[in-house]
Amino acid sequence: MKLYDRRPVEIRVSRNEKVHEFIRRLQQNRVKIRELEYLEDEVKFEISKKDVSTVRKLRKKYRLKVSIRYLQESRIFQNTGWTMFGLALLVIIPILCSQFIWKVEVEAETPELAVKVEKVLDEKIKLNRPLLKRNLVSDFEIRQIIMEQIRDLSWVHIIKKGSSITIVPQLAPITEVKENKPDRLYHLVAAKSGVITHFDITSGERRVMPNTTVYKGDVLVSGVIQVGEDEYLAVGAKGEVYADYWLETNFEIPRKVQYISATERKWTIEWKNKEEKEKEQSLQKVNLPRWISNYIEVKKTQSYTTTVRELSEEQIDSFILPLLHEKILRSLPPKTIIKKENILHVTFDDDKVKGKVLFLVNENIAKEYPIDQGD
Amino acid sequence: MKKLFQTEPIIEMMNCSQIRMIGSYKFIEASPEHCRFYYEGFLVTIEAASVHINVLREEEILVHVDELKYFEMKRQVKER
Repeated sequence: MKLYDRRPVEIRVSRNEKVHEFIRRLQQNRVKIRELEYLEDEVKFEISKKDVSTVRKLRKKYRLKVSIRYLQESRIFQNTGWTMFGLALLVIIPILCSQFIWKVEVEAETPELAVKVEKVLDEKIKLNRPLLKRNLVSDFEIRQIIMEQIRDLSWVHIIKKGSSITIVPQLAPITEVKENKPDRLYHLVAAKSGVITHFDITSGERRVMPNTTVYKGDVLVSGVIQVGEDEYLAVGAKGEVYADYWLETNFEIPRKVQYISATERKWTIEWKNKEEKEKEQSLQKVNLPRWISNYIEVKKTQSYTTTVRELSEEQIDSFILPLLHEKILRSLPPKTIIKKENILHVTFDDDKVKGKVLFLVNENIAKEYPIDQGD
Repeated sequence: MKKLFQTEPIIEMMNCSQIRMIGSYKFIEASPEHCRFYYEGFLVTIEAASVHINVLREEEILVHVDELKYFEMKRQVKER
């Protein structure tokens, strides 16, 4: 590095006859001399720092009095344009490079899948690197395109870390399609006791009439049809049989009930808050210019208010019954209807409401029962 | 090292105040009022009210003068 040390050094030599010879020798030694000045009793000039050793060598030879002054201090960062330029590059280059995506990786369970995904990335999404981050399509689109092309995937994880993206396709679990065993035929029997209301069957023969009472285990639809005199054909029974039955349930609910109800929708303008408010749901958002959208957001919101209500005896019909209705309906299979509800008794405790309710439920009570070989 | 692209000896004088000489030379002597070189077989003497030598580089001399009085190039048969 010393060879290129061009920092200026000022040399002052006492003025006598040997000075000219000294300068001549310096010149012969290929020393570049600048700003040569003849003062009253000395000669002043500038050379580069790399040539100081030559000056020292010659000084001894000519026995001259030489004073050496370093014009620039030896500092790590010289106050020069180049240093500033270098420092600026030091900052700018990483910032510029961070604007690009340099690496796209695919982590798949099998190499074949990885190759497949990479092919989709190259052909459909065109992730040719380096890619400006601004031009990158959204995660959602990448995921959609990959999953569209490769149907076996259940999800595609996209992990972004600095200037690299890792794509992890997730294979869907192999599901065994359970087909109804065609070789097995069934009767439909009653799973519960009740009064038959209507049938919805696709095959089989009815054994009971509507509005008749059946008990648990009774055959409702037979899977064996009589053909002619003594011939029977097993076709299997399929379908639904609906029956009414009374369902008695005990309930126990706290006296104080918490409601969550939605307020009306309104537009709000507010400072952007990193912590999303849980009780508020934004329904619609206005897209603001980028510089302002980091701080302010305008959106249509709907918030939820929680109210606590204490139950009283007057509210049995208006509040407790609908509540139980919903609760029971949710616990029963779909297509079930509650036709009627009767309250047997209700007691109000200090903090609880207990009681017994009868529901008239209309439900599919048919249950498959295998046809034995002997039938 | 010869000056980039200028391989032939050249003397440039601008406004009679800046003298630049490219070529092989030998410094002889100087003072605030004069300077003297051997330049390509010539003895060059410059005299002025003030002589300031800006650069003495291998094969390049740059001199600034105020009120040039005398500029002489004299063929030297035998160099010292």
